[in-house]
Amino acid sequence: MLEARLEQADLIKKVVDSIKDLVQDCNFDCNDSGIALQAMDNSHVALVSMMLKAEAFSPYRCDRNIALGVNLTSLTKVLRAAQSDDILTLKAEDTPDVVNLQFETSTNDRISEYDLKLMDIDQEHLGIPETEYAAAITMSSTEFRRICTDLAAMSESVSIDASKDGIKFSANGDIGSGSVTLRNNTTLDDKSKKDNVEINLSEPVSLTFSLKYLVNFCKATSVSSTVTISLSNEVPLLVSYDLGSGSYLRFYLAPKIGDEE
Amino acid sequence: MPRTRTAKAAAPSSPTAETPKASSSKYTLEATTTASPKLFVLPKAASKEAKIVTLPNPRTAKPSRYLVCPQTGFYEFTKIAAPKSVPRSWLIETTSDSQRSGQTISNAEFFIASPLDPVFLLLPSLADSSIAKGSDDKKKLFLSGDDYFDQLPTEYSHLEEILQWTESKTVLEKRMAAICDTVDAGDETMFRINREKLVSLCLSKARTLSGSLPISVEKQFVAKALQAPVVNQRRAPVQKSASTLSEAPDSGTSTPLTETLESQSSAATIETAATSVDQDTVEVEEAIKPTEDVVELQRLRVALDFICDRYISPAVTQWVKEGLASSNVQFSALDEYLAKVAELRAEALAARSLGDYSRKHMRDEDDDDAREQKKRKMEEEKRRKQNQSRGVRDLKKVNTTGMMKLSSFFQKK
Repeated sequence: MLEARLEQADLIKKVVDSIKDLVQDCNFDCNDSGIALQAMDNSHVALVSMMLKAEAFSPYRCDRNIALGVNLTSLTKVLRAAQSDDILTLKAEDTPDVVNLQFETSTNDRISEYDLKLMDIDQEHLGIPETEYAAAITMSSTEFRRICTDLAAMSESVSIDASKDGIKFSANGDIGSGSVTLRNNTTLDDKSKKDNVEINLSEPVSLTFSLKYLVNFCKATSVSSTVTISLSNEVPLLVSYDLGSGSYLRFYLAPKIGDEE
Repeated sequence: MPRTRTAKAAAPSSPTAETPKASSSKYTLEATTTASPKLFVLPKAASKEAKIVTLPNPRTAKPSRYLVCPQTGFYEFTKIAAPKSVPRSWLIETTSDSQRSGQTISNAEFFIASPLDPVFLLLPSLADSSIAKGSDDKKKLFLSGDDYFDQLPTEYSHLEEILQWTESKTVLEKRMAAICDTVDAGDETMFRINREKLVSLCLSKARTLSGSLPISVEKQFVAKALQAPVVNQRRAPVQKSASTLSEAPDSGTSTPLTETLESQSSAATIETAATSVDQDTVEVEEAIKPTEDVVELQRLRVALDFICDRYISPAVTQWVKEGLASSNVQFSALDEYLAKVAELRAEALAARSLGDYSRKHMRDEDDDDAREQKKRKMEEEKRRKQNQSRGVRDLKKVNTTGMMKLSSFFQKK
């Protein structure tokens, strides 16, 4: 039996919104530590991994491991019925056919309830090791989105070069080429803190990625004001959004190798 | 007798079927005979003493009617009848001037008596023990003619009476000698069947027959069997193999025991077959043509098959065919040719089934199934697509060359 109450329906609305454009159907694996999700896109080159820790909910109760297989488009439709500041409660039986979603207005004068049919989804789970990345850039999520969308206008792929000089996003396409370079910029000034760029570099990295996928990841911009991009040579790129209290939304993308278009 | 319709209907001696209706007429009718009369064409050679007797059929061992004449031997009956679809009757007039009388017979059939070699009648008992013993027929004992006669089925058989005529016994034993080794034991002759003699007898009969095969048989079983599929024409005529011979003439020329035995005349059956053959045998280019020797062998085989199917029981036929292998007539050339024809036909059939539109109907059901499945699949796909976000759809178009699958970076759990 699962029962998870979330003070702000907003969080799950945004998370589901950002995932639904990458995967179609996926399992929400619920256990006593929280609700986790791992899914790959159709081409299996990108992976999304979500963790909503039990602490994010109040209260959270899950006696057994329950897999809630949902179609994310359908879930989006249901979640659209919730206001951002509604209180959301997820409920499911131990072997559920449906997941129950209840939206309460913060003033407690309107309660709406939806049952979403579940489906059986066969999904392979990948074990993702904790990796020490050669370069990790933490920056404003909107800035990252801007870089990606701007460069996507130039080319299909972007090469990310991390060196001691900074981090350079460059795209080379049919109409020309463009690049954005970011330098380490850390201020403690609260006003400009959101523009901070923090680069942790242990060795230079240069990799190429599909911009379409990166733009797709940027749909998660609204879930967090900052994003961390982690790179190492010849491993997938990690784009991580922190959801607070140990919860996260992470995207992995395989680099383009041996193909400098 | 006036040959008008009305007069015929009111004919005083109209038999069986018309009796109840005619009772209201002003003519008084004679009592109907129990069985309707039958017409026979009898051989001139048969003497006055000739009798219609019942003897076991040499092939089936079922009692059948034969005409036996003490002097000239045995005759079998062949029923000639019009096809059932063409109702006919006999109208018979006597020719004597003193009193003109006529009669109708509702069944337009008649029986022709034709000479039969009595050796076939005796073959079951002669060959019986040799076949049972198989190959070591040498050990078979010589037996007297009477012993063989005794071995024939006696039920419904008039053989015993026939044998009381001295002439007929001589005739039978003379014919027996034609296929047997004989030994004189005192005043009696003892017989033992000899397969070589039997085979050569059959072959000589077949050879005579093959020289005068009816045109319909020639077309159906000789020309058609040897015909290779045409190369220039797409629609090769459907071929019948020679083995079907056993059915067609058998039904046509049976010696009937009772009148309920219904069969069409052999002439009628084969006539219809012949017309259908005509349509197919257009002048077309054939892949291979049989040589004259091959045609001759096929004729001989057809004739032999006919004789065997008609007069020799299946078991004995088998035995005779085995003996045929060691005879001086070799069918290997024919067999080779037929194998080649069969091969060509298989090829033609395979080619035809590809391009034959008339077979389309047969596949329709399968097509329906496939179409339905396709439709279902498409609907499912459509539903899936409806539940697919635009982002997912867009990502499908992304060029992912050079990108390895994530499962190559991360281990599966």
